[in-house]
Amino acid sequence: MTDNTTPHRIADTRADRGSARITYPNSLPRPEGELEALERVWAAPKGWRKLSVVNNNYIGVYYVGASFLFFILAGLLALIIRVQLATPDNQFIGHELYNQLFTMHGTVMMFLFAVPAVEAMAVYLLPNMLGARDLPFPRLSAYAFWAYFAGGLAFFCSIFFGLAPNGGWFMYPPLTSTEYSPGINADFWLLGIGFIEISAIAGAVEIIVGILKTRAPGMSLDKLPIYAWAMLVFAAMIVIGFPAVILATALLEVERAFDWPFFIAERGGDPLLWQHLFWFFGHPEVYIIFLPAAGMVSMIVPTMAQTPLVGYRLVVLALLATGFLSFGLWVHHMYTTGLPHLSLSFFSAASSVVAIPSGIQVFAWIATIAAGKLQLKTPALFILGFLFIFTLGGLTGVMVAMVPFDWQAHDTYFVVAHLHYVLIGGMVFPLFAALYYWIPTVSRQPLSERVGKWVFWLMFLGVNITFFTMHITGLVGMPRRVYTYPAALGWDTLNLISTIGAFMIAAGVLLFTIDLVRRFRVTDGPNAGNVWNAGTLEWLPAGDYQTRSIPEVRSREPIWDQPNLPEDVKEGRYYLPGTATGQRETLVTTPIDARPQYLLQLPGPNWGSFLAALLTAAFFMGLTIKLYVPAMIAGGLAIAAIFWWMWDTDHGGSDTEVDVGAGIKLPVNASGSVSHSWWGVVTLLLVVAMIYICLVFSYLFLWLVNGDAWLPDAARLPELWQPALSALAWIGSSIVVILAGRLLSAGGWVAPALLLLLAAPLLPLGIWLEVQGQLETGLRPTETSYGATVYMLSALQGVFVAAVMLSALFVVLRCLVGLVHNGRRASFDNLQLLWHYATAQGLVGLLVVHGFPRLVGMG
Amino acid sequence: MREQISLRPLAFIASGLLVWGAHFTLVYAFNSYVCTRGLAADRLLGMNLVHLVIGVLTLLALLVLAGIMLAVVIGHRPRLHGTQGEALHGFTQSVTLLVLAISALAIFTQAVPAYIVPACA
Repeated sequence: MTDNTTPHRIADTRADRGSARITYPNSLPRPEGELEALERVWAAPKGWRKLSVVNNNYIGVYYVGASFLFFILAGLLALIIRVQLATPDNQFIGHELYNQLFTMHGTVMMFLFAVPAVEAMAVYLLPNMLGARDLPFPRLSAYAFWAYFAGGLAFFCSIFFGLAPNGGWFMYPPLTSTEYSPGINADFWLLGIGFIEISAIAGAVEIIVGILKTRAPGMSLDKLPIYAWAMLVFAAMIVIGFPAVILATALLEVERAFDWPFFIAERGGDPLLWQHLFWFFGHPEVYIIFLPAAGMVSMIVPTMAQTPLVGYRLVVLALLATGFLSFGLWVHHMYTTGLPHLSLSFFSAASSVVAIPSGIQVFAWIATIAAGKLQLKTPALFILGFLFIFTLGGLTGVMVAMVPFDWQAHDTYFVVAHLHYVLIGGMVFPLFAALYYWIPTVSRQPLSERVGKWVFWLMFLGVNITFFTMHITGLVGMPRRVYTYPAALGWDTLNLISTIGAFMIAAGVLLFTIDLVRRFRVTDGPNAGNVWNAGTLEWLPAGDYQTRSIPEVRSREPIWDQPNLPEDVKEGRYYLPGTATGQRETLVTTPIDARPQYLLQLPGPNWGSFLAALLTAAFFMGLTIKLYVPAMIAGGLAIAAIFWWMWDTDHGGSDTEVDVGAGIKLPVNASGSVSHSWWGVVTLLLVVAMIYICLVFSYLFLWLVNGDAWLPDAARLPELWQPALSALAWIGSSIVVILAGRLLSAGGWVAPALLLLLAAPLLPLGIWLEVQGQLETGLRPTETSYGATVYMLSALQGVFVAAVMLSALFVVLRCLVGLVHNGRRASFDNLQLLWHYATAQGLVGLLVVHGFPRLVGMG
Repeated sequence: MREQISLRPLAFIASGLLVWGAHFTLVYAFNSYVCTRGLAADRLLGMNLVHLVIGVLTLLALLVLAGIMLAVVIGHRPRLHGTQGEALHGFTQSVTLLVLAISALAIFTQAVPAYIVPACA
């Protein structure tokens, strides 16, 4: 690899604005046909084949559009709820439908609108903002979008059949256990939401690798746009937080389907386990939604004030601190569950400390507004509305973080008011600001300023009329989730006011939608342009290939600070002004200081990701409605479609290096720890590890609450030689895979493929030995929570091992057709990572199951 | 290998909050164990068990933060190049120190209730 730390050769210079001499990586004029070739390889498919598109500028727009659709659908549910509550003793809808409506409203808003909307904005914005041609795994983005859209629509349609979940958006057992929710309504939530979270995690992997590896040269961490910092923290929080709810949904579904008693107190389970797992995800979820919105605000405020953000370093600190501290708050949703006072105090302390970073950001925005001259355009109005509403929500947040107050306000409309102030203020208003602000980058014309002001005032007044009133409704005693109330309680006027406010919000959203239909026209040609005079890269002239050339970044607002940048980028003076290999490409740079590392060939349109998404949705839907055979067929076909999409993504490295400008010659593609796919797999393994850690936590939690009754009297632990055999099988398989890797390095593919086939059966063998050993002791998963968690550890290992074996099959198939060899081994290297992780996870499981009871003297 | 070395500034930036996370996990797990096993009134070295353990854990966490701070201020020099490298170094150093400060505050705030609130009431 060329040493890119040496000073760049000056390819072209020009004097600009009198004094500054600018050096350019590439000279003009550019070769004939260079731009046409770039346009050709990046062109999106036309007509019905557009469903197979993977370019982020299309998938991102689809994604934002789909999340907005779910926002409207969930909003319509809210309007029905408000009509029902507008008058006392109302019989507009019955209690059963009401239960489904409020459950679906919360669930759709949180899982199908809020998180996908901010992820969607990132899919669209990040490559443009970072100076990349696309995200590093475009087909994964397409899969994540289609899976979310198809799964989300199917989930939403359950309301039309009376099958929608009805246990509240947090689905607490025992209400949602089989005994009290025997139908499949709860299964729709558990399988539907569990599936949609896969999409969120896929997006998070994409975002982390994209931000760390595909930035424009020179965009070191100190020049990273604040939005990218926010999305990096956001994605890391998804990796840490979402596994908890994935495990929780899996445990509850397994309990409902197979009667394994994780949450049934009579058999050693504990409903509080669900609350711990759910809120370990659920509270950070608030910040998962808020931080991207805060990142957007930090981009919009400087532009609207025409001055750089005040306190960049402090805002980075605030984002990091909020991300971490938010994981110390989950029990603040459980203050009334009888936990010890001191335990509550730990969470109360963290709840108070997290106000500091939030406050830092608010003051940074106010200081930026004060330092510049704010243009009161529609995005700025929504920002001001956000500051007002979110600050009020934050203040009531500090109130409910105080244990004594929370005991009084818990489960009343005060909490409903608080959470809507935080979520609408903290996410919806910034999102509307962002839509008004960034639509000119994708549409031929911006949205109407005149209509925008009407939209803002209707929504701003509507939100305050609806939810400020709810604080009082809660303080005078109205509980949440009641479908009606008697007139004598004095809640009727307050509820009527809230309903009027809700319809004002709806009128604002309707007006916005009409304006969108009138003026929003997606273009792959010239867009509305830099209408706000913004300073960051997403405002450079762009096409399907993003920018014509990839700029070298020298400041946080390069368009403001680097004279003539848009024209120079458009003319091709900067890096990679064409296609160096005749395929889609982007630059991969180092994570800290953004030095060019290699040229990454990106995959183009493919039906595999689209089909895989639909089939995965069909698999989960089949499981939910208990059509097991069609579900299995859909699952098998989904795997085949994933194989198809993955087949041509490992291009391998080429022997020649390509010139990207400034004399920098880069290798094409890479393998090992430099490779983007290696980073993607490591991020994915963090998710898997978190799921497993949450299961180990569940085991220890149930041990703690059960005391001496944890290990049933009749049960005994297997002899130690039995887990030793399992360990040997797993360690042996890893050694064989290491050997296969060495043989691959030495040349040839036959022996490595054969060794993989030899090693593969050892993984399930280890699980079989472990399960067999437990069965011989008489332990059964249905009898006690101890048995359920012990077998669940093996079951989770089994799911992961199945994934590893499918990956091994994929690599062996590629070996057979000559697509794996020493120069093209990314898929093999990634398989090795998965394999060794499976071994490590299995060994940890054995230590927990066989070591922990002996350690505490129960074996 | 070169890649791993270059990730050190990010690791330093996050280190303070990782220490906070470890402290939080340990004190919460310890208090839960003490309460479910009825050990809240036990004494060790003449001190209340909860006060002693949470105090020691807090002191240890603050010492680790101090160690990281020293490493950042006097010991750690990233292998970065040129003027831009200096600016980047200044940025990572100052953000690391700010993160350490807020982590110390969070750890301290977390420990204080142990001396005010009964452990298991």
